[in-house]
Amino acid sequence: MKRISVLFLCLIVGIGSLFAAAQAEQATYPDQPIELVVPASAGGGSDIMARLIVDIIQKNNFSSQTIMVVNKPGGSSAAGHSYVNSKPNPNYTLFTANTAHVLSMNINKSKSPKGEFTMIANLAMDNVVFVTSADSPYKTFDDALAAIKANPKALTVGTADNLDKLCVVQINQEAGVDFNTVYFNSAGEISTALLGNHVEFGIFNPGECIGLVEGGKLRVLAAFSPTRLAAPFEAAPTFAELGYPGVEFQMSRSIMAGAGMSREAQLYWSDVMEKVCATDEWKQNYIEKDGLEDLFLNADDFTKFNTESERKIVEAAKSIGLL
Amino acid sequence: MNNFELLFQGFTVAFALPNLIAALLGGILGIVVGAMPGIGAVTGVSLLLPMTFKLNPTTGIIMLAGIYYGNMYGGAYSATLMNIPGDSPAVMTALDGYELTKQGKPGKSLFAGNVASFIGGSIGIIFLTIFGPLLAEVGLKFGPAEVAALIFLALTSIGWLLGDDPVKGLIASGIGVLLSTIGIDGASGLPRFSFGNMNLISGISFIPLVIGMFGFSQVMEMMQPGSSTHAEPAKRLTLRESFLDRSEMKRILMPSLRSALLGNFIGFLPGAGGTTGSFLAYVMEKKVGKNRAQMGKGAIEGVAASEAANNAAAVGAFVPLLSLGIPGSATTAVLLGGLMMWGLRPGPLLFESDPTFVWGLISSMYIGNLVCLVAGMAIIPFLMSFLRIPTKIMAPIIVIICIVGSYSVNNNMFDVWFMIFAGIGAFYLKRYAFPIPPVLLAFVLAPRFEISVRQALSISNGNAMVFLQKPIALGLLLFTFALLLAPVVMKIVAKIKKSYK
Repeated sequence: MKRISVLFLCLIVGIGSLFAAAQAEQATYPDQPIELVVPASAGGGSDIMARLIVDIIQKNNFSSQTIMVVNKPGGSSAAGHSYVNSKPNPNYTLFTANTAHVLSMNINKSKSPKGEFTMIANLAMDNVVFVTSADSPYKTFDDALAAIKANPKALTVGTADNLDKLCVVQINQEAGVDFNTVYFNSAGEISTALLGNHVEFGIFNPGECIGLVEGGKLRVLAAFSPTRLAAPFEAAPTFAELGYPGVEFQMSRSIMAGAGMSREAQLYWSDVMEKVCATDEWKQNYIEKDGLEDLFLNADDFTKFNTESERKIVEAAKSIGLL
Repeated sequence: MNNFELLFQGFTVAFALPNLIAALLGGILGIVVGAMPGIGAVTGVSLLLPMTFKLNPTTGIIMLAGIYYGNMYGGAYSATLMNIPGDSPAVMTALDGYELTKQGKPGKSLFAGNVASFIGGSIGIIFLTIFGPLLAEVGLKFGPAEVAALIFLALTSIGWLLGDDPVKGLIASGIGVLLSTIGIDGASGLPRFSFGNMNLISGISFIPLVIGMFGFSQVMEMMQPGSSTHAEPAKRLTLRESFLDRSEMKRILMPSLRSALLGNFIGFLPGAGGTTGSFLAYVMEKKVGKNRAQMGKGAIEGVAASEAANNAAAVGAFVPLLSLGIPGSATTAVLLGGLMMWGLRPGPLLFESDPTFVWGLISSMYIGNLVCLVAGMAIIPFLMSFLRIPTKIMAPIIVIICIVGSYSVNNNMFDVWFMIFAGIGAFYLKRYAFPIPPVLLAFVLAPRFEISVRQALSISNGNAMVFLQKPIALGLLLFTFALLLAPVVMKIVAKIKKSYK
């Protein structure tokens, strides 16, 4: 019996090393499993997107390698970025990014000391909505404004990152009110707090609250988009309609990689993402369902795009004292 | 149709041959993956998720449920046999499980763990079947202030695990709290105690810490001359000896039921999770159990309490997922990704829009739980033969498992160095009679406590009364103080009674 046990252990070790050997034999990139880091906790907008991308890639065999989603929440995405920066080889780690994360890279100085992050691709543009729970007394955005004017600081908006906070600060400035904000690790946590009436309002991307809006648990009071969103958000007016044209936001959803990724790897992943964005699954299960807008940009176009949008968002943050 | 009719309809789906095979395969795979330290349920489920895409949605999710369950069962095995908890909820299992192994009764511990897991899982599923969405509503009542009060209760309960010297126990808890503050501050996004080190900015991972403090320090003890920490039973253990007899079954029945109820309740609260569940269940058992004096010295009740609670909590996490579309744990978040891949949208409408799927899944949980029980029992004799390996061979094997386990969490060498450092630290702590479990529990609970307190205070604009104004938070705090004061009051009452006599 003793011998059998030892034998079995040898077997386990042997099988393990086989895996290692098999991976070492492939010469072309990617020759190792890839990590896709989500700098937010499970269940939020970035997480939903990352898991869908991985599922599409694996289902359609767009890449020969396994891709693992790794959640690194905390510090408004700084924990995730420093995790990416800690990787010795930049070619095997991707991460999801969005405008909020780009902002926090500047606020928390979480960029790599080795240089700028590598831009892979822009996948879509996401919208932002101002939400309350369905049984709250605030039927319209004006109800909320009246209440906060009567009682400054008494109403709280749940935010999951600095961009959400920037949205609230913009409302506060444009409408001359004083909403209180509280930080949560993810939109999932904000919706839990909203449904339990622990906070009055929350900032969401449509995809993060669509199930609860359809289910009649949450009510959308206003949208930060330039035009009204599709169903089930069509009833919510834009801030411009409400008389605050200065309150407008759309955020980019993208894939980036650590500083110093090879050109070969950058183009490889840009191509894979282009294939992902062309699938019906992506269009139906993500873009349409979660109320986003299709906007694919490859590695080079996205590099230009991001430089410009980063400049704008940093300016906005500076003007209100976030930076 | 009422829930039960729908459930039976679900059973007809789940009993189709491909679905049964999927549940069985999932369960066995889950046990194997769960038993490997460092892999744990989240990684296990995400590795195996792509396998299920070739199947139809119902079969796929049934297999996933089997994997999820198997993981929960498997986590207890390495905790019992090698004193390396595979995942954080299994820390409490290791306390009594490994003691039993040292006493040459590993089979009893594994058996008790399996039975308790089954009871815990079943109670969780029964609650999910009957109350489903209703439970989610209860969970929502727990906002930041309430969660903070609950964790405060858990933190003060560490007191009961402090061992013989409370001062040393408090110092150990303090070490845990200090270690947990390293990394990015969740509320402001600024790094703390990182000393500019990239690896420290993202904080210390739990798995390397636990593998080092339990597993690696264990090996160091084994290597000491004249050590007898590793059990080497002279005679071969038979399966029959590991079966629990009737009186032992009776002993674990009540603790399992109690712990399952508590664990299930904590499972569907936002952000509390299996670790808090198994920990509070263990503490409760140590307070009210018949065999409380033996807890921590190798009591099957301790294994049962921890295992029943963490399995019930694991099912509890499904409640917010299915009824609100909010994942209650990291593993259920992975499952959420799977659901969306099949075009299902979890949310308040899922029960109505896709009843075949929801009830197919719930009924497959019953089957998955049963399959894991049977598979777990079948694997016990094989697991026990591990212990017949002599120390000189076993020690290097454990070291390899420790290194591979801690590396595989983040694929980062820093974690391996940290694991060794934690192991050496724990070795000296144990040598000077500092207990290890408080370090780990404080490490898990403190960050959650900190963020909840800060959220509650920022909602109330800095007014600390928020903890007393919310009825649930107030109730939990009063309960905590009552528990803390109880021994003092009892003593006074006893004195007064004496003086009357």
